[in-house]
Amino acid sequence: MTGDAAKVLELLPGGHALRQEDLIQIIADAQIAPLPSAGEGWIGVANLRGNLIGVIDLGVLLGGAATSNGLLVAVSGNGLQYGLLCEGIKGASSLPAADGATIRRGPEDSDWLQAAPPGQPRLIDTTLLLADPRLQGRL
Amino acid sequence: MADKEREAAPPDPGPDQGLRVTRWLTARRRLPWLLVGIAVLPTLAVALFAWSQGTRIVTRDDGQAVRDAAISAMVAIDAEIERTEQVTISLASGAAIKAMTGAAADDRLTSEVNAFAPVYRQAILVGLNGRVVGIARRPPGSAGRIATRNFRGKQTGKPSWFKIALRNASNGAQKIVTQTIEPRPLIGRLEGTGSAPLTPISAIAVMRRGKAVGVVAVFLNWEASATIGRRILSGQAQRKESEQQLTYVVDKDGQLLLGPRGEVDLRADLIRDPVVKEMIDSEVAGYDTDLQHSTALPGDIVAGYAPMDQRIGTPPLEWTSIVTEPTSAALTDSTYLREVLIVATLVVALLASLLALVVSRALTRRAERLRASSIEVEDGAKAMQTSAEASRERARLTEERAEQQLASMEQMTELVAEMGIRGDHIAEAAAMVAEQAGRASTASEEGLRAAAEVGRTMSEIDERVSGISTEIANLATQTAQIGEIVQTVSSIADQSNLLAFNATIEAAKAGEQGAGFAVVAEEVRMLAERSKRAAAQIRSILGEIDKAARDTERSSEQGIASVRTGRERAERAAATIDQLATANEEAEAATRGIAEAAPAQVEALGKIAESTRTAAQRAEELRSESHESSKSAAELDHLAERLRELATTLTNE
Repeated sequence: MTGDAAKVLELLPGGHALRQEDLIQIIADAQIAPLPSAGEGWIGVANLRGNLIGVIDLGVLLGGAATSNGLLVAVSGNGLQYGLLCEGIKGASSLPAADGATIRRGPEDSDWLQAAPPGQPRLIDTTLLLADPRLQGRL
Repeated sequence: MADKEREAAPPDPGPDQGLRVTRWLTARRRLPWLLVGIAVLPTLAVALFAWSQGTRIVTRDDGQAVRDAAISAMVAIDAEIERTEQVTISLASGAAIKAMTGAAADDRLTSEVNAFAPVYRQAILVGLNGRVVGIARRPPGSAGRIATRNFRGKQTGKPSWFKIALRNASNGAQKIVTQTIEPRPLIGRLEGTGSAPLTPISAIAVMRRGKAVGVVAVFLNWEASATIGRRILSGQAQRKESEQQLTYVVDKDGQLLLGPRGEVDLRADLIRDPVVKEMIDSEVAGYDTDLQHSTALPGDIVAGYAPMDQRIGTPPLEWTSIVTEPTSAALTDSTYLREVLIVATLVVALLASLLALVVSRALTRRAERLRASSIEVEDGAKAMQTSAEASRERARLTEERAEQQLASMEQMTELVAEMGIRGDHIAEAAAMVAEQAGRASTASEEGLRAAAEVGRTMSEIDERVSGISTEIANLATQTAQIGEIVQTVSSIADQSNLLAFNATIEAAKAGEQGAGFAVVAEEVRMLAERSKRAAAQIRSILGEIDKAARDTERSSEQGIASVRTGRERAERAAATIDQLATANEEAEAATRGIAEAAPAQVEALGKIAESTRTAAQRAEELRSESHESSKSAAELDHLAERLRELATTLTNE
């Protein structure tokens, strides 16, 4: 896929970014309430402008440690609003338009991470993210 | 020199005459035989003379004459008694006894007389050798007896006497009749056995070896038996003769019985008359335990008084009858005298021999000691020569030392003079030192003030550094407060950044209408970024300020410690300077004392110099005297040589 440069929001600790059109709001000091019997990837729910949204720990989902004192970035994907808990925001930047193909770099890579040239952050597909098997349980 | 001195010595006097006689006597033991001859020959002459005289004594029968005199005296006394038939005796007063005895009344005699005076008409005091040795009493009725009591006392050799006290019953006149009798050694001699026709009333003095040793009282009853009682005068004689004492008893026929002591019981065998028995009992009861009855010894010389008693018709006692065989007794006396003379001669010869031997030995020892003394004198003379040599040597050494001392005195005089000059220098130097000490004292006072000023300055520095430390602590507190503010600013910047992101998201959602708002949001986000960076820089600066403040605080603490150490050192320096000032003052005082004493020292040195000169004069005199001592030692050497020659002469002779 070729075209105009995409505006993205790079996340900390780096290497990942979200498309600006997928963003809803960045919330600092979000109150996350855990939910019993939730699926493996969901850590709880948060209040987004009066609506309850499910919250996913992006660090865990990327195979790292659980995130503490991070920022909650509310996104929308596949018509569903949910939150991604990350360590912080590196800043806004513009990325060249990608071909839209998902490139797997290894067997551990998920489908919701798009390929990116070296030195650039990989975009997170908020729609495919919801298809991750670790998020398929009850919310 | 020595020969001249020997020529000047006195001549040798040689051995004296006494020494020659002593040597002659001690040589060949002549002296013992000489002394024996001198002692024995006169003794033999006396013995021969005594032998012949003893014969003459027997021939003359002086004992008979004495006996006659005694009998005459006794007869006179008896006649006096007869003439005072009606007179009774009272000797109750001590004065009467003193009148009789010539001495103070003896308690014992007084009690005796007082006890017997009412009973006996007469009392006869018996004196021997000037002392009252007994009392003889005659009871009334002419049938009584004469009892004797002996009293202890020394015999003085004075004539014995009898004193009879009489008192006329009609007119109370008292009379004392005194008759003396001189005891002679040969009045009579009592043989070992025999009899003597004694009168009923008798008093007999017992003699032994020419000394009166007792008085015999005869207790005689013309119808019964009689006893002879005797008292020993001397306890010593009694002890000596105790084993040989015999008992004499005169029976009613006047026979004198003789037996060993204790064989005859007087009261049981002889006293049959109740009156006599009573008398004897009372007598024995009144006598002391040392009363000895009839204890004359064979060979005792007996003298006595035998008054005639006409009333009982007893013929007068013939004294010759005591001596059973007068002729043989006289011969016995002569034999006894010869025996005595022979024994005495032998004893004298023996004693003379012993004396000669003792004297000879003493003289021989003396001669030996004299010879030994001569050797010692010779040795002493040699030692004296040695001593003279030593004295001469010492005199020479003394002279040399006197010369050395003289030289030393001269050196000492020079040294004293030099010391006087140095004393002046010392005084000047002491004055200079005192001045320097005064300056040092002034400097010490200035140093003391400077040290005090340093101490004050140190205290001010301490206060100021302490203030700086407080200010730095306040600065650290304020820096911490600024850090907190900066943290707030940084947080606001973060929130502004997020707010700008959210504004950008919202502007993007607004599309074309939100483009301007997106620009503003971007400007806000950039401003937030700048604020955050500025806050980070401020935080960095604050960190550096905090580090600098901590370093400053640490330096301040070190500075405070250093200031305090400096202040303490300043205080110690002040104390040291103070001590130095005190020492300087003392040194100044001492130096001034030295400077003041220096003239006195110079004066004393002058006196020492004077004394040294005097000592030098005396050393000169000592040298002269040593020279004279050397001369005297030479003379002493000469005398010692002469003395040694004399001792050699004595030793060889």
